[in-house]
Amino acid sequence: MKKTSIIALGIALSIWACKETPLSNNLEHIAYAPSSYTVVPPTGFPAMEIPADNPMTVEGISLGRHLFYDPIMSGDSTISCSSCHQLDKAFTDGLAKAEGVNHRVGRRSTMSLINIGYSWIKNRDKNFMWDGRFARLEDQPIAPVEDPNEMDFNWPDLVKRLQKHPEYPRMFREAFGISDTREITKYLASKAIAQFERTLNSANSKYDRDRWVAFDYMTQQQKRGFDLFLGDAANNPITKDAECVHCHSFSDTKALFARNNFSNNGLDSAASFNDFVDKGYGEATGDYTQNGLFKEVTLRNIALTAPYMHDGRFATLREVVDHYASGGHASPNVAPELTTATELRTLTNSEKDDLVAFLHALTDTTLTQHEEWKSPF
Amino acid sequence: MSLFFGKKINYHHSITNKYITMKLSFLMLLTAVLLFNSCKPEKPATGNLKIIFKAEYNNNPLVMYDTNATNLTDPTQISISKLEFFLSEIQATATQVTTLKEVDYISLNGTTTKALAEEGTSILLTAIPIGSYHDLGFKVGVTKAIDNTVPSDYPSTSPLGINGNYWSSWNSYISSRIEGNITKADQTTSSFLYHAGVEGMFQQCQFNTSFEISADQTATVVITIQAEDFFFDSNNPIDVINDNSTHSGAVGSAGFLLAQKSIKNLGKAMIIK
Repeated sequence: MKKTSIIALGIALSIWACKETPLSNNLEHIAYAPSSYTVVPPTGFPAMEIPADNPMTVEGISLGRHLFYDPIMSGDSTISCSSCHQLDKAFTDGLAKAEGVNHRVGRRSTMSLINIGYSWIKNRDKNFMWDGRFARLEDQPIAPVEDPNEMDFNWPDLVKRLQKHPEYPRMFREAFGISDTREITKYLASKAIAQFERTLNSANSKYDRDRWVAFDYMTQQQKRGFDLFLGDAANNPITKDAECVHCHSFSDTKALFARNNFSNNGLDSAASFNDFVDKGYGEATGDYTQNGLFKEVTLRNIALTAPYMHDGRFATLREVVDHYASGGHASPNVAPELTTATELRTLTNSEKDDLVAFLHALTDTTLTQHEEWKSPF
Repeated sequence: MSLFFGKKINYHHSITNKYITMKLSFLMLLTAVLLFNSCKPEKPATGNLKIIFKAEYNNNPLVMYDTNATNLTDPTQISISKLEFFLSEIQATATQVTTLKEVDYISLNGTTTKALAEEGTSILLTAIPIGSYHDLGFKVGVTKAIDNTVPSDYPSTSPLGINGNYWSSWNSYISSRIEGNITKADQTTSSFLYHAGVEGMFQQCQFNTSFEISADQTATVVITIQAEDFFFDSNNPIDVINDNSTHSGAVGSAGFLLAQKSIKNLGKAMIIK
């Protein structure tokens, strides 16, 4: 009896000893020596502003890239960030509205991630997404994980998956210096993804080459379209003023083709502020006068990001131009840049084609050549 | 030394010696600190100035998007949805002219309720030398020196670093923006948009006003924008029906002249009650 008890105790002790103990979570045996990474701005872009609490490192970017492409992020392990943000579509998905697990359809269209780091206005609390609900790029990746129409998962369980993963604990250690797997959090995962996203910068289009290289890359049609885009500023007396540049603004040293504001571009009629079906920016700010406003997107790579608008209602760029040329629908806060643009309403079919041709000149044809943006798996 | 420490001192005892040395060191250090502090230049006393901007229409708080009767035959009503502008070279005069701030940005776009409109929007100017000031001035718009810079010269925390505040075609910041709608006599509505911004397009405003800046205190000056004067001032009215839009333009162009009129009127519409 005594012998049996001793053997049983021995077995129990052995099992207990083999069980995962806090000591096995320790990561301090892995070197933490992150290499600082500096974003090299494309020609015509300023230095990118990086938040002080998330300095970029080679290891952080690598971790972010892995997480971005890993379906581990979704409940049924079918969907990753890259499912909706596909490189060959300038990190959009070609759908009117994003699809998540089990093909569930989300509320709005997937936004491009190209040059997303330049969308940050530091002291503004509404920056990212169609409705601007996230202040920082670091805030954004947290939401899709728990959205039932996107990844349909929960962070506590995802963190457990990451903690038990054969590679991620090491990568979190190398990126952020955590000493224990239990220090893996959604915030660190999100920081890593934000670091990766800040590397997705593109400015190698025909327009850029025309601007910076002594050679004509844009076609005559694209140049005519550019003059229409600029309007009066093109200083071409025979050119009409399509007045696109007021919202899709740029300068030689900040050639974003976006002013990063929110506006109502006349998509829907609304008799009052409360009549907008999708309240957009107003939903995020709580200010009813901002209902129906959405993020003005960059026109860079716009030819790759169809369909267009927050709900993907326009299949082609020509449909977009047709919409603007119609003057848009009336509502209390429709952008006066649109409603006062009288010559925009007189564009001929041929002029509309010219505008569309210019928009194609903003496509970076080297996007898919970036090996460092592709899946690491 | 013995006078200070009396009988307690035993010069042959090493521990006591250490004690004396420590005490002496402390005294010397204290003296040095006191001397150092007395030699330090005294920081001049300064205070702050808060400038509150409020907009009114016919003496009523101007609520964004609310309609206001113009008391004219045409247009009959007007609503304003955007009112924002740069301020530069904010200066005040006491015994001499002091520049309080080089540039700031005022936006009244958020005054969407009566309470918010009554509150207005403000800027706080700090570290102003104390004194009795009798003059306050600024430019509505940006100076030529600032206009020679570009958004990429500034961080996004500065209004000068925002792409949307810059008009690359004219190599200029957009000095002022006023937008809204009118209802015409025939009951139709139309929009207006006045964006002023070409190099040198600013309006100097000067206010003969007195305020006292005291040490660590905040004085307040309230500037009221009488919006009706922006549009319908009899000396320089804007034909808001026919000249309803300008993004400025090449020097001398119709768009340029209308923009110039708009920023001039904006400056003139500012008063201290």
